[in-house]
Amino acid sequence: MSREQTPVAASATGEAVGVARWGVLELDVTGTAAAAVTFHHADREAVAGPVDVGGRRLVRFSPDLPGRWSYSVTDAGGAVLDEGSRECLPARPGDHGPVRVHGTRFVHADGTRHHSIGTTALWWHHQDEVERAATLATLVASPFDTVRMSVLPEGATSWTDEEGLAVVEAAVAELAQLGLQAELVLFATEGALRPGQPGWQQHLQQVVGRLAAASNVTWCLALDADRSGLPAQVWDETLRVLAELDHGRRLRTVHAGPGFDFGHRLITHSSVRDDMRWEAQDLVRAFAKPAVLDVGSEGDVPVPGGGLTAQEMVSLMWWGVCRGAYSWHAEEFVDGPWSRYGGKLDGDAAPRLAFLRQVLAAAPAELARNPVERHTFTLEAPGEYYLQYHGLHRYSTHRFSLPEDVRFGVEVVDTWEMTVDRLAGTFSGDIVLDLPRKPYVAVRITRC
Amino acid sequence: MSTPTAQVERWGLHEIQLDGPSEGNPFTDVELGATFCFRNREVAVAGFYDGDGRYRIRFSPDQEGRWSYRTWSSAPELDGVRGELAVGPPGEGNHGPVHVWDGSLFRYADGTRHESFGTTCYHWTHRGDEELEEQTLQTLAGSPFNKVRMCLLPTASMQPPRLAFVGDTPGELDKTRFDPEFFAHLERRVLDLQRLGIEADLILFHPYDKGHWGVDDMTPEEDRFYLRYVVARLAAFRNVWWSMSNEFDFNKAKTMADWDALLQHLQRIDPYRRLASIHNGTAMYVYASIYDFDKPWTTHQSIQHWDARLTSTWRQAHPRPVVVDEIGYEGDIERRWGNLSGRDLTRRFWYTMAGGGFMGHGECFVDTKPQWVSSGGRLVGESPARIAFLRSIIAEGPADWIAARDDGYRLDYFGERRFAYHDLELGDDPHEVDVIDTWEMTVTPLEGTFRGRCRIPLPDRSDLAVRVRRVS
Repeated sequence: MSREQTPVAASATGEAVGVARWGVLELDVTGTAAAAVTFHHADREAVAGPVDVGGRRLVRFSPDLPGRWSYSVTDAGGAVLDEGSRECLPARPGDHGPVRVHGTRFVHADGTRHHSIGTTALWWHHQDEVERAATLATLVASPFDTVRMSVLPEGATSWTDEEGLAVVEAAVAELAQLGLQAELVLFATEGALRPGQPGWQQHLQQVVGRLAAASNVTWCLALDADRSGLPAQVWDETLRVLAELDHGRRLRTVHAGPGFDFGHRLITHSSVRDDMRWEAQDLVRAFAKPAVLDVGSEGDVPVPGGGLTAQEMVSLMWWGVCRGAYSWHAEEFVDGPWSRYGGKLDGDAAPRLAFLRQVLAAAPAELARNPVERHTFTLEAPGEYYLQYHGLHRYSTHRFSLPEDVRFGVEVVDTWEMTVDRLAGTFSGDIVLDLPRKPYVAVRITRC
Repeated sequence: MSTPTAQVERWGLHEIQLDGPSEGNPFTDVELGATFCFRNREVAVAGFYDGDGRYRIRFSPDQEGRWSYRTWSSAPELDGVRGELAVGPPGEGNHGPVHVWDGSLFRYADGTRHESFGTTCYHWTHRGDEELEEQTLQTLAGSPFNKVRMCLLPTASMQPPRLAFVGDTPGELDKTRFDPEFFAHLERRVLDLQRLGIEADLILFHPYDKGHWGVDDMTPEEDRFYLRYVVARLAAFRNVWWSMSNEFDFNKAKTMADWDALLQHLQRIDPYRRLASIHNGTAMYVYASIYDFDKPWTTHQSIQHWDARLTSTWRQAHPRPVVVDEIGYEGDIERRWGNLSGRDLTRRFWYTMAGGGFMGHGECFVDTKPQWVSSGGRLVGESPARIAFLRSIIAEGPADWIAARDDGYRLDYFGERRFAYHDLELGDDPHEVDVIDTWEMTVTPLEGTFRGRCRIPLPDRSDLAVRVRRVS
C-alpha cells in the first residue's frame, strides 16, 4: 500500500498533489474538529471518517475513478472546516485495482480476470517477525491469491486497539506488495466481540476508517455466522453499518452454512460452508452472485470440516470450481496449523492447487457453470471452453454435446497426478470419450 | 440536471416524476432506475412507466439524514437526473416496515411490537365498486386485523373492469403492457390500509385462473417482467408484504424450481427486503405441501394447514416467524374449508398464538353477498370480536410470550377440552393467576398468589385459558 500524503488542515492553500488511481490519499486532520471528509467526483461521492494512527488523526481514501476529486472536511455539526481537491492519476503499472463482482464472477477493477483461490491463515500476522516472514515466503510460492485473516487476535477479549490495528495494517500492506488480497474477518463468532455487543460500531469505524482505502482488502463479517446464536436482524444491521462506513466499497460477505441469507443485497458474494445437501441447489445461480466455498481443511485435526486427506481436499476444490464457485483452501495439522498461524504448508494439496491454478489461468475470463448439464459439473464459456470434473466417479466412457460447426481439442486431465493428455484428433457435435476409469479425472475441451 | 432537495420522512415515500418517451412500448423499451446513496451505502431502485410519457421512481428511505440520488436510463432525457433528499423523523403512526425479530417474531423497524393478526379479502380492490371498498376499509378499521391478504391477478370467474395487464379479452391480454390505472387504484387502497395501520400482504400469483386470462401460466420472462413492474410500483410502500403465490402447488404450470427462482429473483430486485413468503395448498385433513422454509429467500413461514397445534413444531423447525395464513374460514358454504364455526376459528387462533405463531382469518357465509374472503364488505361472524380479545391479551403480555414461559409468564390454552383443574410448577416467586374465558371474553383473577406446585381449579366449561404472571 503506497500512499501520497498531504497535511491538510494546515494547508488549505497547499499545492494539490496527485494520487494514483487505487492508491491511498491521506489527509492529516490532527488537532482539528474534523468528523468526516466527503470526497466528490463527477460520478461518485464517498464519506470517510478520521482514525488515530501513531499520534495523528488521519483520513484515508482511495480514489477509484481518474480525474478531479474535491473534498470537504466537516465537523460533527456539518460545518465545513476545510476544502480542497486532488487529481486522481493513472494507476501504477501492474495495479489492476481492487477485486469487484461482475455477474457471478470476480474481476479486478481494470477488467483483469481473477479466478481466485484463497487460503485461510487466521492469525499469521499476530506471530513474531520470523514466523511472519516464513508465511509470506510460503504465500509467494503458493497458488493462493487471497488470505483470510482475523482482525481480532486469537482468543481476544477486547476490541482491537490502535496498536493491534497497526499489526493488521502492516500485514495488509505486505500482502499488497506481493499482489495478494486480504480478506479481513471483522468479528468473533462467539462471546463479547460479536456484532451487536457493546463497542461493535466503534470497532467497525476504526477498522474501516483505517483499512478501507487499501485496495486489496475485502470484508467478511464473521466465520460460521449461522452458529453464532445471533438473530438475522443483527447481521442485517451490521451489513448496513459496514456499507455506510465503507468508502472503499470493498467486497462484503459473511461466512456461514448454506441456509444463511446470502441473497441479502448488501452481501456481494456468498461465503459458504459447503454442504452436499445443496447439490440440488446451484448456489451461484440461487443468489446470482459469486460464491466462495469452504470445503473443509486438509489435515488431521478432529474438528468439523477438518481431517480431509489431500485427495479429498483437492477433489472437493475441483468440484467447487466446476460448480461455478471459488474453492477455498485450509490446512490444519496438529503439528502444523497453517490455517491458524501460517508458517509453512505441510500438506499435499497445495501443489495440486498450483496445477489447478495453471488450468484456470489458461481459461477464459468469463466462465459459468453449465446450468443444464446433469452428468458431471461443467464450467464453461459456451462454444469456447468446457472444464468438467468427475471427482470420485470412474468413467469408462463419457458423453457430451458440443456445437456441431466448431472443432474442439479434448484433454484428459489427471488432477492428482497433474498430467494433461491430449486426445488425438478434433471433436464436434455429440462425442463419446474413452476415459481411464480412475477417480480425480477432469476433461478440458477447448475450441481449436 | 438537478432538482431541489426534497423533504421526506423516514420510511415515507418519495417519488421522482420524469417526462420521457411515449412512442413504441415504453414498458419494454425503456430502462429506468435510480441509485440512492446514504453515506457510502447505495440502494438501487427500478423506476416504472406510468403511461402518457410519465415515468416515476419511488423510494422509501430507511435512515434519517441526507440522501443523494442519480437516475440511470436507456432514454437520455431520463438519465443522470440528480437530486437530494432530506429525510426527517417518521410522522405520527409511522413505525416503519415490519421486520422479522429474533427469529420467530415481528417488530416494526422503530422497535415497536407487531403481532400479526391477518384477514383475507382476495379481490376487494378488483370489483370497481368504490362504495364496497370504503365499506371494507370501515370494517377493517373496526376490526382486530392488521394485515390483509389480497391478490393482484384475477381469477377465471371474474370480469373486473381493469386488470394489471392491458386488455379485457380472456387469453388475449397484452403481457408487455400494464394498466397504470389499475395499479394507481391498488396503490391508493394500499395507502388507505397504511393509514389504518394495516399491512397489505400482496399475493403475486395464484392458481385460480385455469388458463382463462392467461396469467397463471406465463413464461418465466413474463413472470419476471410482471414482478419487476410490481416491485418498482409497490415496494416503496412500507406496509407491503409479498406472498409469491397462494396455494402455489395447485399451479400445474410451475415447478418448485420455478417458485425458488421467482422468490430468489424477488429478493434480488426488492430494495427493502419486504417480508416475503409463499403460501401452500392443502387438501384439508389429507395433505399440506408446505414450502421448505429453510430456504433463505423467504422471511417467514406462510402456512396453510388445518391444525393450529402444529405451530410450535413449525416454529422449532425453522428460525422464521410462523404465519398460518389460512386454516379454514368462518362460514357456512358447502366446502369444509369454508364452514367453520366462529368458536372453532377462535380456537384455532388461540392454539396458534399459544404455540408462538400468528394466524389469518377469513369469512364466507352463503347469505352474505359479497363474501368477505373474496371481496371484503362487512363481517357478520362471531370470531372477530374474540380475535380482538385475544389481541388485547397478547398485547398485555411480554413481546416474546413463548420465551417468557421460563421467565414469569405463561398463557396456557385448553381449547375444546374441559379440565377440572390445571397443575402448575411455579418456583419460589409468587404469581398471579387469571382464568380467561376466550369465548365469553372475560378475565377472572384468582384470589391470592401462587407459588411452587399448585393446582388451579377451572370452571366446568371449555374455551378457557390460564394466564400466570409473576408478581413484580
